[in-house]
Amino acid sequence: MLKIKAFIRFFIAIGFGFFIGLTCNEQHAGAIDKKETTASHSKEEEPAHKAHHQGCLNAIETCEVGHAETKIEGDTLKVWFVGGGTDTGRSVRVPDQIINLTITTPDKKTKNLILYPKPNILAEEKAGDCSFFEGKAPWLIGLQKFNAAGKVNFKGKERKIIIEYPKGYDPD
Amino acid sequence: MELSFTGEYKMAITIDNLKVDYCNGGESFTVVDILSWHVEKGEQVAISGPSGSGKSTLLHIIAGLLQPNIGLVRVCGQELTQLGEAQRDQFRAKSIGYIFQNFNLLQGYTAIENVLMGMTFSSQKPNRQASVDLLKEMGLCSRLNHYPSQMSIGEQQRVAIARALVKKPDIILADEPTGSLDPLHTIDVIVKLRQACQQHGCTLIVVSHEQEVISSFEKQVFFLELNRAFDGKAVTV
Amino acid sequence: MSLWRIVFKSLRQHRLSTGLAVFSIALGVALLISVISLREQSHHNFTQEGLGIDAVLGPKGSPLQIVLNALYHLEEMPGKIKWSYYKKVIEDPIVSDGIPFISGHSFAGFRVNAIDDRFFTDFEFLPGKHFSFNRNAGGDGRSFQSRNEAVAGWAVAKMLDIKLGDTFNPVCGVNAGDPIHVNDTLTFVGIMAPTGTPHDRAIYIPLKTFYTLEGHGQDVAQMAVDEDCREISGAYLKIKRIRGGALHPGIQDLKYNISQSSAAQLVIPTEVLPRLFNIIGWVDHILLAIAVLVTLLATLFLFTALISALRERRRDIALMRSLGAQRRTVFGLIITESILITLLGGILGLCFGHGIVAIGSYFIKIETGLRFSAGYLSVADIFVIPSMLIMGFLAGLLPAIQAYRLSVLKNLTPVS
Repeated sequence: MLKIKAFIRFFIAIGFGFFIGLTCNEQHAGAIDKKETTASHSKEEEPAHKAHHQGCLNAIETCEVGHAETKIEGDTLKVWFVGGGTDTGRSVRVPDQIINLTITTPDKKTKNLILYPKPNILAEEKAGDCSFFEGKAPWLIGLQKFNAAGKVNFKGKERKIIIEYPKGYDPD
Repeated sequence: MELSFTGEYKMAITIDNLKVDYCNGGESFTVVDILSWHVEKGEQVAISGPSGSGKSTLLHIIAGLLQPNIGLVRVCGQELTQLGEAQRDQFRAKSIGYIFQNFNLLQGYTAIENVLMGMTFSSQKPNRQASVDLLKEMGLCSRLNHYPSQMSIGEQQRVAIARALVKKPDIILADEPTGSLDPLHTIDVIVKLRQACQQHGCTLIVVSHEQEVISSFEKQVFFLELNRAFDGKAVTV
Repeated sequence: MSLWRIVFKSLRQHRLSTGLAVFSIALGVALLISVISLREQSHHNFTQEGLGIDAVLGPKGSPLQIVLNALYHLEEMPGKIKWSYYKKVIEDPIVSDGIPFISGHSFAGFRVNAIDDRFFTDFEFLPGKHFSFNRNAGGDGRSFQSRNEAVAGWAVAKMLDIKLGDTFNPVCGVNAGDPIHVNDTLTFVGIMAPTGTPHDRAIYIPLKTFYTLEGHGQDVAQMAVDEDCREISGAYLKIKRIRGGALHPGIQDLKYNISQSSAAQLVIPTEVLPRLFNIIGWVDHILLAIAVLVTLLATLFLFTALISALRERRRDIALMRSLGAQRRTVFGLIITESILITLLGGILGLCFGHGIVAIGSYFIKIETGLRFSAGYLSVADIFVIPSMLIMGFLAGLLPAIQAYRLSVLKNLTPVS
């Protein structure tokens, strides 16, 4: 005997399952969608201010002038000089042979670190015409947070570098 | 809720203080008003009366198709007035066989299928052999797989009788069963109906205005004597 | 007589409207199934791990154009890169191998690519899978070993009815009317076994053959012997893996470094293709919307068919009620009829849909070399039957309610 209530319950269950299935279905165009880390100045930053090396972006004077993307890997501090605004994927070469950084650690101690150029051969960079710098020191290992200051000849002018790691520096 | 009464009973139909009102454009008027009426088990009764006197309404009440406004209606020991609609449907499926004036066969079903339909809604398992036997009893063994449009009116009415009888109901209600037949077929159908009811032990109530039908029954009821409500005006339901 | 028999009887009695309803539902479902199946399979085909290619080193220009040309033998490369730059790139510690190629020629509508012969031995057209000339696998012959030899992809050989020993003259360009290298006749020495990838749709000649084709000029001919002036269209790069088989994370740094040069760019196919689908995603959505609309219209048709059938059947239903059928029984009969129609339409639609995919797959395979499977089970396959149950219930609900509320006495002829 056909029972209305049983029918209605059955179809409600089916309908519920159907909608659960629809909402759980995450078929979208593109099977592999690499999610690049968008570590940038702050949480409110637009996604376009992308740190292409998964470091943190520090504005050089202002965001529009340029950025120094900074990252610690083991005992090495890496700094890439890149464009301003949303142009953080374009390298900016600087003529400096070395860059001196004064690093203040969370325990208020200051230390000096010298960054040396590491030219991108594939972009035909060389020392004195280089966008990427590295500095090594054993005390960098495990350093999670620091502030740093220095100077660099960026886009034809001597400018201050202010680094606030890991959140990034944005005066705007 | 399943019907629970399965006991024996003496009276097939017991009616006390039955009153049925119809509403017509805000105006209410009584169609059936019966003080008391009984039909014994196995009796065959013919009810006659003028058109619009409420005879069909009485059959609808007994079949559970209609609820009275007040009164007691006990059919085969079951008090219909205390049952809900679904229970009355169940009761009718099990205990009542109804024959209409216009036969009301399902046009898309063959004779055998129409007869089987009579037991589909009761709790009985459909019995094809019993259906075939009944149709043979009605003289329709060559019409088993014919559709109503392929049968004469008399044959259709006999199929309707077989459908009413197939589930072995306690009561057969026939509302003008020969109204559309010629006199020859009328006698034939009434004889077959009465014989079948006798054979199967069913109580039979036939409503008719045809004299040859009424006079063939031992027990006859003139409805105007039974129904106090009729004042000579026809009622259209 | 069982209630199921009553339902089937009713469906047969109204076979024209039942048939039309089933057909229209089947049509809508077939559209849905085929659109979703082809959509999912094309997404899969175009994003399947970059078709074995981790990265493509190519000239500056549109990354999408580079991917379409390098992986799918469509479009044209936007320029050339220096052989010396390619050599510098493959010396990078995270690059494990590179296979240079030159595109830009064609024959009978198929691309002719000049390529390093390690393409047939070292290149993985899908992760872990190499090309084969094995006869049992559908291939024949061998890879080229000399200047005038060529290898055909499986789809090319099938379409052009190429046999080993057949010859051809490559066209200098990919457009109709481009000049033919009439004095350079190459011979097919190998037919690759089918791979189900676009590589089935190309012809391959030795890399150095390109430089020495007549009509390219002396400076191009010089590239055959002088690496300093040699140019190529691009190179397939194999990147080293880290634990778990993931690409070396240094690939992003490599991509960045190369992009800073004016000479070339590194394109990672699995990053580019999703963007393609985002662009044309609206076409997808429209096709899907059309399919959904057709199915809904079919359901509406069913609803109207049931409503009008009910008008004819009022007497029958009243008769059944007078025979003892309860209100819920007649309600259930109508609902069951409706569900059976949509279920049948759904099942037929499933079959038609997969049939459409089968037919489409044949032509897509011939045209693009990409394999689509008629037996692919998409999201739609999983949800079509439950959806049909729901739609059948909804379409039949109002007619069933009408049947439920039907007055027995009003619909049987009154007598007295």
